[in-house]
Amino acid sequence: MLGVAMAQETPYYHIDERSFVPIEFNIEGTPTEYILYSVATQLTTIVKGEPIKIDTNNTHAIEKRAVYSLGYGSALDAWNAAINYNATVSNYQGKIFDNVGWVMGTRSVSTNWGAYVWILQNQIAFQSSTSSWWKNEDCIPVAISNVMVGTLGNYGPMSNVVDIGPYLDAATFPGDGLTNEAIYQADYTNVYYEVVIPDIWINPIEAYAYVGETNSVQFTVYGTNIPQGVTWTLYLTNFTGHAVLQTNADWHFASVMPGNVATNYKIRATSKDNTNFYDEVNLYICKVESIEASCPIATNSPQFFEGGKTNFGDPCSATETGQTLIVYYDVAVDANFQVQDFDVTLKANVLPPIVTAGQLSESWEKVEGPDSGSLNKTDTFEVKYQNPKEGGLYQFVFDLGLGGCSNSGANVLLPLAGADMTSWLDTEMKTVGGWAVANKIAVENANDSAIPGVALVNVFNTWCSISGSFFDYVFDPVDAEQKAPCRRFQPYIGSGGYYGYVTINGVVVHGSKINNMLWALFGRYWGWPELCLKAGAHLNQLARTKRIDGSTSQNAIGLGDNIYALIQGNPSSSITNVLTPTALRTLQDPSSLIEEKLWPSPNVADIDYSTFLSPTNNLPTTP
Amino acid sequence: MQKKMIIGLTVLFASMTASIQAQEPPSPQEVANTISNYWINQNFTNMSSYITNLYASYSNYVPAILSASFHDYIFLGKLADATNKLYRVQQAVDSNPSNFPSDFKVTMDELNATMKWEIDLHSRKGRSPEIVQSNASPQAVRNATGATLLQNINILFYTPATNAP
Repeated sequence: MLGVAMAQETPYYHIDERSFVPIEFNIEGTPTEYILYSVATQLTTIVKGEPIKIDTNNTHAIEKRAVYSLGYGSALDAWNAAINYNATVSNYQGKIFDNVGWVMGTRSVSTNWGAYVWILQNQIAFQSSTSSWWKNEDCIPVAISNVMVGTLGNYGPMSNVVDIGPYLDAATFPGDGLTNEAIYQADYTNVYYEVVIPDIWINPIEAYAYVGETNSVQFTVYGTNIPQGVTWTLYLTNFTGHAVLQTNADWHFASVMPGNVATNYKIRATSKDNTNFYDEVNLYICKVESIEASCPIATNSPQFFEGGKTNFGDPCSATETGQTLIVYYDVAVDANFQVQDFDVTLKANVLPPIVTAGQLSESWEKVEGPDSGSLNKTDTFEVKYQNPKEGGLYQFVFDLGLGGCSNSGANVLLPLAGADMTSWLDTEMKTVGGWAVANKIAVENANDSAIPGVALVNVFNTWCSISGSFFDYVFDPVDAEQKAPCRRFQPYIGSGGYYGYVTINGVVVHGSKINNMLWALFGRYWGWPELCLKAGAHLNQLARTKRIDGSTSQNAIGLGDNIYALIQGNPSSSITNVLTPTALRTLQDPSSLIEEKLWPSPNVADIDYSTFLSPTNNLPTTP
Repeated sequence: MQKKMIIGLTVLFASMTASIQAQEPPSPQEVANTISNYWINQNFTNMSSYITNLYASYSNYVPAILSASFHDYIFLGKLADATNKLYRVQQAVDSNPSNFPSDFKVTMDELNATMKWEIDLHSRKGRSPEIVQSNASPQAVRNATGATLLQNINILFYTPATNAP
């Protein structure tokens, strides 16, 4: 601590203008970080030291008594003779005087000159410090580079010094008939050390890697006052699969192979010169433990998808179904069958838990699915996919943001029914009349009889045979992208009366109801009234299952009859005038089927991928 | 001697007829059971006699009219007569629909449609009414239906005990 020299009555020898003044801070209340930083910059590396250890045996005053030299031709000659005369030196053992100096002069007597000299000096023998280390309040030793002893001078630690002062270089020829005198004192009590504080820092201050990464993480140490370098350590490593520290001859560098455990480590570089000084940084070995997908209206929420993978199989596969969160249609719509707003929460469970989203460059992306809904964020661990309105498979990918780390994924399925077949049905219904009439004529011709009643019976029996065993379409509408239907939720579709779920004018219905509708239309072209057809359906069902025909089936017959009337009135009129969403929903049977749970397909059936088989060519003409 | 026998038989027949006319008609259930049993057992002779007598005795009785229509159609091949009888019953339905159950009315629609179809069929095939009549054969029809009752007989099971105008 050096400050402005204070005025002294008796000057100090060696260093006259040196004083040590502590730096004071006037901080009121709790200091801010800026204040702490500001005051810290004012601090120096000088600390109060221990008093010097004086060697009293070698400490004494040196007095050179006055010498008179007479009879010299000049004052200078007389003074030189006096100053060089080996006068008796008187020592004052163990004493240190605070008024040392000299008195000298020349005087002429007649033409001769004489001179007198009196000198008193201190010889102070001392050791500058008893140790090369200074300890702070916490007893942490810090190397001493310099010992400043009052006004005497600066010395190395543990230096043995014999100082004689004041110096006599100022004791010069006073002049002819003049005197020269000086008085000094010494300050040897204010002792201060200049200490050497090592500075160490590691770069980077924190690092991230992923579990199993094959590239090691590099660390570099920088510092001052670490002549012997540093020792690197990695902790904690007391478990299987831990990270491994790698060092070499150059202590500036170290690397860490991440290992197979998600956790956080400390990397420490410790000064070899003073093990109390080190720097320490964090290394986070990360992994995605799982992706959690949840939704309050999903049927199987939450779903946990294993981290580090994006392939969870095909959720719509009919055989080996993959993993997915499932949201059914009936819980997503309101009373007016409008899809309500709902969110799917996607959360990446990242290890170690201490790692936060702000530390990494993670990102979310929807990589597959309808263009409906959106992610509220993409750059954090937990996001929401908001308000999807269309059915389909939505697939999401989470990138942890560590290069080379495998992505994680999640599936959200809004299962689709078969593709929309309204257009195909409209065309087909307008062709039924042609082949229905032709079929009836063929049946009549095949069963013709001149016996009254016989032809009727056989034609009726043929009609019953057609209705009960042969009038079966096959509907398997598939869209161009082959997203609809989701096979997982489709029963077997095939000839012989096996139907799946299809989309008609935005409503999902079971294919059997469409077949019933077409049969009713066929029957009307045959000439059967609606009531007869409905009664016949009852009889047919009774014969099969001992139960009457269900209301949804009867409704389908009614719609077939309505379509017959529509086409009769205006052959080009769209069947959607009859097959309104409201009318189509009368064909749904939640008690035994799942059409209400499937999402209507927004895409139309693609003829290349769809199967539509008409029973036209399979109808018998005899019983 | 032969004249006396004829007179005697005539007097006997007249007294029997008068006796029948004085009785209430059989219930629709009785008519249905009787006719259906005859049909199932292929007892066409008795079936024909029963229906003929029933209609002769109760020509306004709806079960009798329907039975006679069936007889005209299957036993005699007289499609026009069968149609006319159905028409009488339809008029009774139209004039008092609440008096007839819905199943009856549905089946009536069916009978009307099938009769029309039958007539059109023979017309299309160029068969005259006489040819049709000459080909009438309840046995052939019974062979085609098996034990299943034609709707013309089924309707008798839900025909009300009422008369046609």
